[in-house]
Amino acid sequence: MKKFCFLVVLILLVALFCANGIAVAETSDNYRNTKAYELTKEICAYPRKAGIDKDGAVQTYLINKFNEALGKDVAVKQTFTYGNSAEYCNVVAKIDRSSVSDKQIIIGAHYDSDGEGAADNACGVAALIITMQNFARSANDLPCSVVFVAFDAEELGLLGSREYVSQMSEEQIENTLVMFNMDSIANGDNLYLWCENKRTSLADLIISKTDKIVEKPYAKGTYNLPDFYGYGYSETPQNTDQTPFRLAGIPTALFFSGTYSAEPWSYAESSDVNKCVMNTSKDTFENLEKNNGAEFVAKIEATVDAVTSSVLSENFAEVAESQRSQLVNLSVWYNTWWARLIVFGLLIIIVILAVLHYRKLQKQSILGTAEVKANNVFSQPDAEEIFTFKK
Amino acid sequence: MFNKLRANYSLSNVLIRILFVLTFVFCNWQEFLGVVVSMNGVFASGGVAFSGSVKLFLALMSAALLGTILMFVVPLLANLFLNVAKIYSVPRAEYCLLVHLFCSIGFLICGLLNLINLFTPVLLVWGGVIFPFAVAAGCSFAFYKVTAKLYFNDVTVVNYFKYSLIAFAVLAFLLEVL
Repeated sequence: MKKFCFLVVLILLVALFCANGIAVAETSDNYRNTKAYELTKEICAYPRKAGIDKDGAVQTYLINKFNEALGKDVAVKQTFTYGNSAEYCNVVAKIDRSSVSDKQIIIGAHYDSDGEGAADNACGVAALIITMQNFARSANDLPCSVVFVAFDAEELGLLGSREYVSQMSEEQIENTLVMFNMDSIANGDNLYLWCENKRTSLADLIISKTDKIVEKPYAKGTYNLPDFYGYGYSETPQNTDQTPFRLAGIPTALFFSGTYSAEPWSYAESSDVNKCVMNTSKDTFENLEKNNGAEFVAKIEATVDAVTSSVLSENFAEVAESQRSQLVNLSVWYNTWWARLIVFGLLIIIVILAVLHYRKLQKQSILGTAEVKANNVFSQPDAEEIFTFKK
Repeated sequence: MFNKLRANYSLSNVLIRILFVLTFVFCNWQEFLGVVVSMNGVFASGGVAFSGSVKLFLALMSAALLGTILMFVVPLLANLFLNVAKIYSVPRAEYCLLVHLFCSIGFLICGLLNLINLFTPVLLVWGGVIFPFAVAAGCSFAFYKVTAKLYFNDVTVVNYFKYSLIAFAVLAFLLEVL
């Protein structure tokens, strides 16, 4: 009887294990049929070193994808040169809603990479294209125009986004409600949103749309050196394409993945060192899938959902309008020169007070006794020099 | 304890120098970590990346190295000051030890204030400028009062005060304003 019971339990366990295995296999296979997976894989197949290669293959691919998503030929190249006369190229497309509003939002992701760049930033470009497809379907519900930009040369120092901002007129800057940036969204431990290092209504709106995104911990991983971009301080999320927009006064929202708990006071891609592949030759599609499985697709989809549902929500225009007034004033609070000016003022006050004290000391010295002092801190000094009176 | 230390110059000398380096590290670790994190980003593109604990270790070691160098530079500056001010009636080794001690107290206070920086970048930027100045002013004043009382009388203190003021103003302008 005991043997029989044992056999039954064993069979049940094996059956449960197989059923579970099948379920897991089905789940793990499902993500391969998603747009996010296919697009990321397709993008990774193109060499994407910054700059236009011989046939401009990746740029042509992006233009085709943009046009396909929007259903018409609207994608254009924004070419520019920099430094050694190498030619770079942003790819830009727009859903025009100027009949409804003068305002626009910009959604961007950089497509260049150091190596295969699956996590940084094929995933971001895949999210950009899927967001474009979603907005194209809901074009009539959009509260304003939407500009999509695939930036080039981010890895060389945000060249593409700097160029894009430099080409914007003051009116365009004024009319841009928000710039959304998607960079390295899929490989890290957590999916973060970063707006202002303080609570803002735009961040609250975006976070309310999904439970898969958390706001970057305020002021975590911030340092007062080195200040590369003129923020007055530095932190890792500054090193991507929303920075030129934010410095121009446009509210920004960055989606990125990583963790702030794995390293002391710092950002890391993951608590698993093997998953920290950003800007290395290990950032391949094979590793992305091996390390994350369905999770990387889920992060891409969560980013797309957050942007789509936020922009299409009823109060988006109102919230986005108010975001500009909630920006931390970079020219005052993040500008060290104001603080230095205050220090300079304090220094002058100290010097003036000290000069007055000096005159008082001078007067006292006229009637002074010039008493000899031979005080020492150390009662038994063993340094011969202490009693050596140099001339 | 304090009296024992006063009776043992050599031990005090070693302890204060160690304190100087440690407090320098405590005061400046955030800046060094920031530089190491940024440098790590540059190295990562070349295939070399450091893990979190290594970054912190590198930052602390870099700070300790600079602190050690400063430990040797500070007495040179103090001697230069005394020579320029033509002050020869001061026991120089002891005076330099007091410089180290007051610098250490300043680094300690500044390090504690810098911990506030961890809460918001606004304090990081403004605090990064105002905290060091406020602490430097306070510690310089305390150092002047102590040394003036120890080594100078009501006649010689006038010259000492003048040169102390000039030294403070020049250093504060160079290090905190510019």
